[in-house]
Amino acid sequence: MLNSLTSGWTGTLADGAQGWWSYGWNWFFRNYGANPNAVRTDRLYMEIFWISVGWFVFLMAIMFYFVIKYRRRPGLPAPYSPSHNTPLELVWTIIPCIFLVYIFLQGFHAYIDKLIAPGDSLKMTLTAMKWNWTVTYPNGASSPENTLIGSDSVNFGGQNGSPGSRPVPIFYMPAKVPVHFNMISKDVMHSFWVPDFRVKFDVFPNRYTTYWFEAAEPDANAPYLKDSNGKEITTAQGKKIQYVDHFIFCAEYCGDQHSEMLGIIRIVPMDYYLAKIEEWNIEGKTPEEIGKLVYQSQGCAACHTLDGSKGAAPTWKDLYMSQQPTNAGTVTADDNYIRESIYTPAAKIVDGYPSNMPVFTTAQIDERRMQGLIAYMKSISKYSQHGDAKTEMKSDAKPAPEKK
Amino acid sequence: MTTLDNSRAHELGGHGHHEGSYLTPKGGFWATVWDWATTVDHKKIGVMYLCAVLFMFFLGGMAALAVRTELLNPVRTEQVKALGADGKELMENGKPVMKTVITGQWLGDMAAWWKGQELTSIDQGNNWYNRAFTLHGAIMVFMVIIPSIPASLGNFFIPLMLGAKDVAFPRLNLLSWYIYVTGSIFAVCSILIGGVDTGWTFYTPYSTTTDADHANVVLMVLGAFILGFSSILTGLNFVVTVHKLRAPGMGWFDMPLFIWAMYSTSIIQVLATPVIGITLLLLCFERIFRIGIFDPALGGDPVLYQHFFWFYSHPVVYVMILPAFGVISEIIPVHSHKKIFGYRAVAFASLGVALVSFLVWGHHMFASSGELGATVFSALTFLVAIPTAVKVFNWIATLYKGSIALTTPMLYALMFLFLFSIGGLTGLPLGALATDLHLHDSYFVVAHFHYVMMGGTIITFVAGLHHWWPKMFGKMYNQFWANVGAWIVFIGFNVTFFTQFFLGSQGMPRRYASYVDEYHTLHVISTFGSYLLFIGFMVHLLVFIHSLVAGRKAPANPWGGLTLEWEAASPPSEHNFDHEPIVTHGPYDYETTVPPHWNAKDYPLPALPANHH
Repeated sequence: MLNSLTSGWTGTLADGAQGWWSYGWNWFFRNYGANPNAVRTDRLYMEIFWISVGWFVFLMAIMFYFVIKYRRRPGLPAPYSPSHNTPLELVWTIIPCIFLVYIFLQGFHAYIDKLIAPGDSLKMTLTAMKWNWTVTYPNGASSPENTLIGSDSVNFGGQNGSPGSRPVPIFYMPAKVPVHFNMISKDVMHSFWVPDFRVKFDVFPNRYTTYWFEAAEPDANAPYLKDSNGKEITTAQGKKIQYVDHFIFCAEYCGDQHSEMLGIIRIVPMDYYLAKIEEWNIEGKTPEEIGKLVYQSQGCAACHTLDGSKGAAPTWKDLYMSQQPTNAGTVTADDNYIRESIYTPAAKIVDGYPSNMPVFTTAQIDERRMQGLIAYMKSISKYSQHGDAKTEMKSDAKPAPEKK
Repeated sequence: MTTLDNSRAHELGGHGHHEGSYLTPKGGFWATVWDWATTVDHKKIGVMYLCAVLFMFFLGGMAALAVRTELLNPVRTEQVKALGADGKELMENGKPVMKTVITGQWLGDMAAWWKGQELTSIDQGNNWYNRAFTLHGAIMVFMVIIPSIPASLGNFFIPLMLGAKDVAFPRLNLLSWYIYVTGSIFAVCSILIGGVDTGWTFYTPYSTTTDADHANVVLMVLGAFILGFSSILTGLNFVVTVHKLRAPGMGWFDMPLFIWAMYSTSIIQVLATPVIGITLLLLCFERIFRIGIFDPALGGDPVLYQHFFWFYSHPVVYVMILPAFGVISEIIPVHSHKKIFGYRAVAFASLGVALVSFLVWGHHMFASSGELGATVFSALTFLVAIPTAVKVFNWIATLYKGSIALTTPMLYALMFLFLFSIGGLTGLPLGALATDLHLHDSYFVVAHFHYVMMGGTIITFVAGLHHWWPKMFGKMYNQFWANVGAWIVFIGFNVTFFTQFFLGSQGMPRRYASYVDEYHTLHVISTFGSYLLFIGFMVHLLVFIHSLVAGRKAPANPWGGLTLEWEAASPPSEHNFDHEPIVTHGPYDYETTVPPHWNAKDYPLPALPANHH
């Protein structure tokens, strides 16, 4: 079911695409097209390029020759020459037409292949919003992982990208399988562009558009996936995971963070992809389990410890319902405080800590995950036996015991 | 004002050559101002348009430089050691305290410095960038390129080339200038009260929801709406002028090709501009009354807006480029003293382009429309390429066996052929569907349309200005320094925009305030190119100012042109011609006609073949 479009495709451009036209290819493209359709686009692009160079050099050579040869000589008139020549004019009308028809037909064929998804592709939903992307996998899970572009774990075919200004989401996708996105926007228009796939398509509010791609497998030199401690990740069978990353750019202007609306498509083997989306599947998990998943996947662990030791940010051990001294006075770390600290971290800063917590959006941490986080914090706090936050605030006006 | 004072100084100096010149002041300073403000003389209106357009070009150019400067560095957040009030590093438990700073937001930093604050979020700085590129786009399209050649050079030279005293409706002509100024004031006001961040295309639903408390977008859109009327009235005026006011003896195929191009342009303006008028008005209604035409949240359709918008804005691309074709069709024959090759082909190519231009708007929406529409529009788009290519071939063929003088206008015309060929050829991968899905909305498109719009229209506008400057102001300019300026512009232009083709195909999207490191080097090169471009234009400005203040008096026909404007004095008298001219030769009959004001000794005619008639 999964390998419908891989016939004749070996997985690297170098095999499938060489010819007179491919010279200079690397001036225009940073990476090989990541699938047969992308390679076909590159081929058409380079063919047009060399045809254009031919015409341009031809025309300019004639122009420069005329300008030098027929430069003005004082006292000498321009000699007579006919100002009209029907056969010549017909020829220079018809020859370009032949080129144009060829380019049009090539463009049309490759376009149809790019747009029409195979019937057996994996169907997912891609949601665009100011200024983020989310992918909902076939099992309802969505990726909680994100990273700063340029961190060591990102692999754009040997280039590491660059340090971004904020984390961008990572979407794990299986290699050598057609994937079909149903795309919709929550607000204004966006456009989903993966340059390595050589396709973009607009994303509208209130209307579905589609996008499909099939990515080549990571090549033999691709690096291995590592966890946050730098240890190589293995599958249940003990196999190491090779991966390759592709940029996602928003290509339709959408406001202040249009240029920050990036993402990463991470191509991994099918079995690892399946394991990953099962891991993120929050269905059937308890709120505490969901909270733990979010804690691990959203990068909370980088600053917030669970064992009470001091990190770059307050530890979560015994945090829930404790008293926190902040620049806005002492507050109780109740449900609403936690919610506020995640969505608008700068609102209150705990004394002794810098204000460097990233902002999370409701798209990154939805209500269910937020509830999960709170439940998870509650499960590791000794103050949680005081009960529900609201009851606590109403029934017990005394300050809670001091934080240790 | 320099112009007036200067020509007046000439008079006082006793030269007396300017007697009856349209530039001769009428009495004192205020009387002169009043005379210009109420003039119905097409030449004065043309000069006023020229001043207004050049001023807006300066504003738009400054915005472009701001955009390029912002893009020198990408936006990044960094962790740095926090400093205390005493300037020392803050320490806690023996470790430095870290804080987050945002770098690479030049515009945001400037604004924050102006307000005495510190940048606190990426959004703030990006917002300044978004306003700058919107400002650049809206000004350059609506207030510079569209009116540049038609309203300034067209107004000045259409009646002169037709041998007429004025345009058909002189009062309407003045009105259209005032409408232009009003529209521009609306746009400038919208900038002054905070600017617009929609991009010049005002795509919905972004444009109907952004900055919801403010009237900026409505003001800017109304500005563009008002400017449309100026465009319609000018177009209407020119169509009637061409039909009714040709000099005796001038048939349709005796008209200079500039007139043909302006005629085609005017037809597009009259037919297409009302559509954008209605669209922009609907956009205002949408914003103010929330009527739900374009905004999906209200049940509207955002793609409908794109169809309406491009139904105008694609033909208007040819409103921008056709006049440039006209100017080139004048400059090349005049400066190579050669009959234009394939006059009828060039004339009909203008009309053909105008016609087909109405059928290709959909190629702006390949990434948003269905397969059938995209395919049809792609095919029609390639159709436009044919008449355009034919014109380029004709211009180059005209050079054959010419007597080519590398004057500034001619140098610019040759640069146009170079730049426009690149602009046209890079349209091919954008017209082809498969490649467009990659290149659409990337820097490739930015580079392509700058090669066509700037390398085509603006370069030609400057070429035309140098070609007709002696006629307009009666002064020559320093050709050496003008040529130096032209070369700086040419090099700066290519450095700025050729790099952007690579950026685009490598994946750099348009309208990004920031980018990943891979694109840094090319952006730096592009930005330095834009500074060079600025220097080049400044050289031209100085050359023109020098010409007005201290330029040699221009002869009536400095280049040896055959079209009727060269029969008039330089600058022309108030009524253009002493006697109504009678057309006895074609506009490009260089082989059989000694140009007006030249004599047969300076201009020996070539031997004709025996069968020539």
